[in-house]
Amino acid sequence: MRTGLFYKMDLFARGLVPLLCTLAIVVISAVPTRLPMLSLIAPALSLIAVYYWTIYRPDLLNTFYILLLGALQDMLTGAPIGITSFVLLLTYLVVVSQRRFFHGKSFGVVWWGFMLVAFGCAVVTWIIHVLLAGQFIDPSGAAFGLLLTIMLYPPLAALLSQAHKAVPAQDSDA
Amino acid sequence: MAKRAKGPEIRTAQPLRTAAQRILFLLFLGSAVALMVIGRTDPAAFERARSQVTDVAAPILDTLARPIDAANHLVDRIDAFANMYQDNARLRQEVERLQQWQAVARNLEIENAQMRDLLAFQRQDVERFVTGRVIGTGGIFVRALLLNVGSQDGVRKGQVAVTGAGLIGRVAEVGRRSSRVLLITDLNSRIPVVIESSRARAILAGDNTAVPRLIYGAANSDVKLGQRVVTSGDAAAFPPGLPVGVVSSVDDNGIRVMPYATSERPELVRLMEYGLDGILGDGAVSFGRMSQSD
Repeated sequence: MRTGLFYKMDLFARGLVPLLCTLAIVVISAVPTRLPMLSLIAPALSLIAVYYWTIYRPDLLNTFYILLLGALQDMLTGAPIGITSFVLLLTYLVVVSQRRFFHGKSFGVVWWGFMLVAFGCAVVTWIIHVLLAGQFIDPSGAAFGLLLTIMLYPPLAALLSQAHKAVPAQDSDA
Repeated sequence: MAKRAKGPEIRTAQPLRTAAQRILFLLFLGSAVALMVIGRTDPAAFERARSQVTDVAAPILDTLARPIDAANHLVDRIDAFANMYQDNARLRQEVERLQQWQAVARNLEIENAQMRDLLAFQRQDVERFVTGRVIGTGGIFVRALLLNVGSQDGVRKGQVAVTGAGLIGRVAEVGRRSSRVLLITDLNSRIPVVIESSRARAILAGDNTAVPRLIYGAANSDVKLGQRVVTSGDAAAFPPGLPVGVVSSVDDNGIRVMPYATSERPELVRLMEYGLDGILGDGAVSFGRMSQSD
């Protein structure tokens, strides 16, 4: 079938786009913004990328990448390692089972799905942090972070859909 | 998992891959849990991996942070220009007030010097400074700053981090060219402090909010709003007298302190090597659960 070496290399490189996008987002989300409002809240940008690619190309942003990206984010932010991996993998599990529902749906529907997922993730993340810390943590920071994450979904998803155009189509997929 | 079985057409398309993926998924999810558990029981387990990762990321983050800083400077400049008249009037008043303080300070300095001569007083002073740029932040549940200076610049674990306004935290992790400062607002931060006017000792405990709590105070009742809180130098972890914040609320929920330095995000942070490093060996300050593991 497809045997050309350059064709394969090209396909491989373009198949890395979801991984590289998400990696860039993980790194960028660690950069200090110095906005006074953002000193106590931080949006979960990596969640947006994982949600997006799980709906459209779960084969290219696979679970192993998600494990590594989550661990990288925890290492960069100084959080206990594994929390982000765990939450993003759960996101993958939930979204990949429902992904065909979102195919061909309007942006509003996909955004609405993201709101539910982001809410679930914020709750799970908060619970894990409380359990690991062994003390109550004020959830208001997480709540504002959730709102900001939901607000940032449309612009970031627009950027990701631009990157999506470089990704080779999958023949067995919708 | 029940949801996954819903689409038989997916499985007929790629039966083996889906079965293998399921096993892998559980394996990875288990790994994530294992990482959390190991990190919880042995906070030092991933310290090297962490600092190696931040070392690699530091130049990238440094580059990314610069345009943000530049944009902020521009905003500040426009802001300063708009408020020039009011600022000028305010600054004139402040200069007048500070000149009086200067006179007082000069007198006290002379008096201090004379008394030190009398006592042959040996002062444990700050030995040197390292200044680092903030190139990264923590997340919602981690109050920390990543700096672009590391062990090659003389940063050591346990060093005290300050800005012009006062104490912000201390160094918790050091890589070769990056380091992480645990802020005083973080859950794991415990700092011996003293109320400046009453000399009442307490511990300033971060709880992830902007205003850390005062705990273990000897007599909570005599703490009043607006009192200054400074480091006590107990346990030789901090130089005594560093400004920390002011008491911002006293009620049934406890006493809270508004830090001087965390109201805005610092761009540059100064790390101070404090003479006494007695109790601050490795492990005295670390991420994860330092309060429990000690």
